[in-house]
Amino acid sequence: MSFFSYIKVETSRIFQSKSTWLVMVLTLLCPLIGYSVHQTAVTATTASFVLANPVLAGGLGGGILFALLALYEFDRVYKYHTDALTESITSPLLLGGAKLISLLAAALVTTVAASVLYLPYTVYRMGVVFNFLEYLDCFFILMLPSLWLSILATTAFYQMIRRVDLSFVLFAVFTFFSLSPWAESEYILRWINPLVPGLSDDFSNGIIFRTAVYNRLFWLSILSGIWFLGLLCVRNYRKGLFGSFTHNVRKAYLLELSIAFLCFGVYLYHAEPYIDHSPAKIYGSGVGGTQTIVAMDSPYAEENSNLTLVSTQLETDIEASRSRLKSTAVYQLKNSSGKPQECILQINPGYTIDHITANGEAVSFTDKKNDHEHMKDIAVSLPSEEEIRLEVRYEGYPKIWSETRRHLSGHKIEKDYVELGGIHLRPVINASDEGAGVTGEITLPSELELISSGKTAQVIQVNTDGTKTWRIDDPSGSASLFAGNYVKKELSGSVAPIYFYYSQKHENKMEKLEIEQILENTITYCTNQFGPLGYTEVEPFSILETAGHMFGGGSSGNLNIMDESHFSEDGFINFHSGATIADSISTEIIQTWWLQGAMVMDAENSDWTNGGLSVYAAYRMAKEMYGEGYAIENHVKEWEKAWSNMNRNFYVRHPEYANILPEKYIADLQVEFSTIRTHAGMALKVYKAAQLIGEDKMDAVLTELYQNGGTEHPPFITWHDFLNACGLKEEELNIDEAI
Amino acid sequence: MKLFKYELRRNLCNKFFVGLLIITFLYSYQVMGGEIVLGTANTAPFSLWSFGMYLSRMLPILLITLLFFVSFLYSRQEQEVRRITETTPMDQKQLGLLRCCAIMVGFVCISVVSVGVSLWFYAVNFRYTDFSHFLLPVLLTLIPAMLFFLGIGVIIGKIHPAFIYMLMPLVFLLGYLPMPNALDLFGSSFFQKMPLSLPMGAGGEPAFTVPFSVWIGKTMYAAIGVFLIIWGVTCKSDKTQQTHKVKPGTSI
Repeated sequence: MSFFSYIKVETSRIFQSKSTWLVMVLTLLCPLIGYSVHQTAVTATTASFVLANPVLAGGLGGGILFALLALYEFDRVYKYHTDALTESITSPLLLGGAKLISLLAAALVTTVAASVLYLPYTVYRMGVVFNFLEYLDCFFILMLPSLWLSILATTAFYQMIRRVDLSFVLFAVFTFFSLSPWAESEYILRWINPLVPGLSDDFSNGIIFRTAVYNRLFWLSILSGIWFLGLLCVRNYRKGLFGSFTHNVRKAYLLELSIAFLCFGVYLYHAEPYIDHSPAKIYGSGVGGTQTIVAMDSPYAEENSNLTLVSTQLETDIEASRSRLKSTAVYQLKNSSGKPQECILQINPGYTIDHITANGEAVSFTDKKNDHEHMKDIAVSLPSEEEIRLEVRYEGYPKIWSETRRHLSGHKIEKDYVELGGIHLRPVINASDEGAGVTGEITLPSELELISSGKTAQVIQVNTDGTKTWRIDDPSGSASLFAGNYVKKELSGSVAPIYFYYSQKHENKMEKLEIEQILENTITYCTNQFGPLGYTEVEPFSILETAGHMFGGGSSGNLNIMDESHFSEDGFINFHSGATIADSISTEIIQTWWLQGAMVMDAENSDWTNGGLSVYAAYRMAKEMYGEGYAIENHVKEWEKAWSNMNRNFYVRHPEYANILPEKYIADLQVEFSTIRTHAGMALKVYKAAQLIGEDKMDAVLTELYQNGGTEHPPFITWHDFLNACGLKEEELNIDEAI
Repeated sequence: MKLFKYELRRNLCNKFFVGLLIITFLYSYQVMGGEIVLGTANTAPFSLWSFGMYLSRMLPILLITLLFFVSFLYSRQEQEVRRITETTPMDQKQLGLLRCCAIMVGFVCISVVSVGVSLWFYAVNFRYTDFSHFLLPVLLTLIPAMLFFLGIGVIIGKIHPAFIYMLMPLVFLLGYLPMPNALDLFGSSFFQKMPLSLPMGAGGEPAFTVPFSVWIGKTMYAAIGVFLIIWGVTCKSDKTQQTHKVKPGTSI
């Protein structure tokens, strides 16, 4: 009988076994648990809830069940003492291989069945955002390999030690390792529960699947290596482990295969391509008292004062389908020293520099490969000429910062989504750059709409290869780019135009949740109450929906960024700033007024930021629109809850324990407390002040502060400016008594 | 006594126990440093609430060790030598109970390791060494769960030894299911929610009080466990006597 005949016999036998069917049915049921209990993917998107969580639960549950089945199947011949019979007919090595393949086939059939079974419900729940290819990726990259790896691991263990119980314990340890915090942040180590921080509904999830494929490749080669090693340990002629091994090892190709697989696995581990090697740092420290101090060394290279940057020009070709870019950056520099200079270029570690020329001549450069804070340094020798045209050609893709590897978040190039900026788009030079802007020509697939900070991006050329070339111009020099299948809407309520960009896929939801209305109301309120933002028609203010992998929101020049979870029913609700989606969105928009329209800062009171004022303003707006009852219930009560909950915490009551405890244990807690202090806590203080002086007077105080700025230079509005404007003393705003 | 010593040695001196001991040690540290260090329900990390929460998080792994011990009773080798042990002039019920006692001592041993890790953590990181009150959560959390699962293990192992292995993942799941206080065998939701409903005591810490319904619940679990153990042990001897009777017949 040939090997293929054995496979045929084994496969048909395995599909006739009742235990196989039991395991298959139970595996099919495992994803059900993921709908409620197993919350691995945390980003609040529909895809996370109805696709990622069930599939991950299926992989974990199915992995354990198939491990049990594999042990049962491999142990059968020895349990019923039929090994003497089977081994007289065929080699136990061949039989081992055939059994493995039949088990892998059973796992494959189960996954196919699961993908068919859950298809209707997933399509129904996801609606227009359903993407069939990503659905298949979920089942065949996230779930199926978990089952295969479980089978490979248990059978390898069993072949070596030939005891069911001990093999199961080894498997349990191996699984526990994957689920433990030691592997939590390392996507490459998590073999049974691949790292899926969340699936985006509206944009591509390429990075999640690319890292998962790499993880699968790594473990398949390592475990195949171990499996072939295990095959060499299969007992022969009633010999023991070593006797059988010396007999089996005569088949040299088995040993060679095993070593080749293992070496390939080790190579894959070392050549890991997606995460940079920046050393880890803990941000945040001691809750002692009321302040949180964030210590961080400046990651930027010291400025070379002999060099002045006049302008930067980019010519970038974004190959979205390959998730890479090729680019040339041209810097116009002035060298005032009259001597050769060395400058430092800093760029994301995922890029490689191909070529650097200065005034047309190639110059020497050293890539220091010193990953730190999401960048690496490149030292370049510049000539002594006064005017230098430095041309840098580079290519590659942005790597993920090791600090954020747990969330796989960062700048990215996907086939339907691009998010690049700063050192992730081009090398930043350490020359003094006052007023030096960035211009550029960016080539992108024609279906993507480009949005850039600074002036509105314009199409300058439609190319024959299905791409378009856009012109960008950001006089501030920050140059942030976003591209996707965006819908552009102009929002009313302001003097200069304000644009809102969101994914085409999200159009129905945006209409259903009346997001545009919420935004327009907020803009109208802020413009009437505080005054207009300082943007013009040429450089308009834009609000942008981004992929869920970036978490939360922020702003970059004239772009206000909010991730997609802000705009979904299952959405992101920041309990410090209100209870509903509308409140959360309004707060984000109001923050722009208090961040870019006026600057709020106090060197002596770190809790005094734009956060507290924006949260308070969102309450005032809600009160005007929906009435006092609603505003108090959804805003003030929420702040009070967060504040009193924080004050009940042990470490706030006993800061002395926070001081003696090693920092790593409570770093996250401190970051959370810091947000509560700056947002909920400060909002409560402003609210109390408004109760003392009257809410209308408070509105006037805020308007005045916004329009006239503060007393400290540059015009920062300090905590004392606020107190003086209200005519109150700090002691009067003690909020602990009020709650 | 000698037999008890042998049984205990069989439980403790093997590769599983050593492996599980290492896992328990690492897991204990992880639970302590990840979750308990933050304090349960805003209480101190070294309050009885947090310590109880720690024990309830540790229970799944401790119970899995217990189930491994139970699986030894039904292992293949054990089944094969049963015929010999049955011919000894020893009361089989007594032998069964003796084995269960040895399993309980094994469980206590591994629990001591886990509790030891937490006490060490408290002493090193919080300089807290007043452990005199910690016995109450230990008794309340560990003993009923131990008796209950020992009972269940003994019974389902008799039906089929493989069921013991299937029970193991269920033990893990049970720790995450929300349950009313009285039925909460592991106590995780009890330790998390109860302190929030209590008035603050001195220093902002709610006092450790256990409602009557929880006592009743725990006693019920323990009683069911004891009943199942005794039933399992007695039932076993009935079955072996039957096989005794049949065997000579078949050999003739």
